[in-house]
Amino acid sequence: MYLVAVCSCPVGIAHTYMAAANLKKAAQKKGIEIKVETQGAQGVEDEITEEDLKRCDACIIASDVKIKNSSRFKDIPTMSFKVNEPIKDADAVIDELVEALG
Amino acid sequence: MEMADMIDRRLVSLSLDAKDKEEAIQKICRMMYDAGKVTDYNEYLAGVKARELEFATGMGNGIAIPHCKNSCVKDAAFTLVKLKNPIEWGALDNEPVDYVIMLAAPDSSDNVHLKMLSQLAVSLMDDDFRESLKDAADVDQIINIFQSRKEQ
Repeated sequence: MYLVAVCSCPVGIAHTYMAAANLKKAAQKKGIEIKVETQGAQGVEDEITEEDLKRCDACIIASDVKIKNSSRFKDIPTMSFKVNEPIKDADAVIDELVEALG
Repeated sequence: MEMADMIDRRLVSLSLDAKDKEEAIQKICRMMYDAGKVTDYNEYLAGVKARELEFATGMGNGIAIPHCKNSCVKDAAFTLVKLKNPIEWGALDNEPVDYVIMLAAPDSSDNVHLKMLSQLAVSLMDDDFRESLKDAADVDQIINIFQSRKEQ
């Protein structure tokens, strides 16, 4: 399974990156490949590319703000969360998505 | 640049006395101001409190990371403050907070320092880093912990 994710928060100096770190950690633990794009004060990093979009099975959005370029994901099963949710329990976030995918 | 290079002794306190969250935020904002990291105490305080209202920054495990990005911030900085007594913060895990890492970011795209702040936030998700930081007895130990933290 290949997941893509976008993390963002209003200030973009802390939560964005904590959520990203936890999603990566949780996915790794489950043996799931993930790429996490961060949209923070440092700009967009690890941007999800056309190729990622073609290859991915689903998308996680963890954000409290409107993310940039969300139309990219219109044809991809996408689940949205508050940025705090993966900070609190990223395992649960990924489990919820995997379960929804069936 | 390394995270350890950003540690400012004036922004480290290993036993801050605060009766509640409001007082803790005020005192820590004052530390930022006294160290010359922010040019306007009131504006900075208002910024931190506004962010806090959006959602509380208690990230669990007794740590809170109140923060704001504001033009009154002169230099990007963070505090490392251990509270004498745990206080209620409205944290994600509903546990009281006893360690406050306040982040200040200037309203610019100074990516080097922003990167350091986000790296610190990420490091706090690491159990070993977080616990050893909370157990550190003095600033030199804290510097060692930061230095031994491998970039992830």
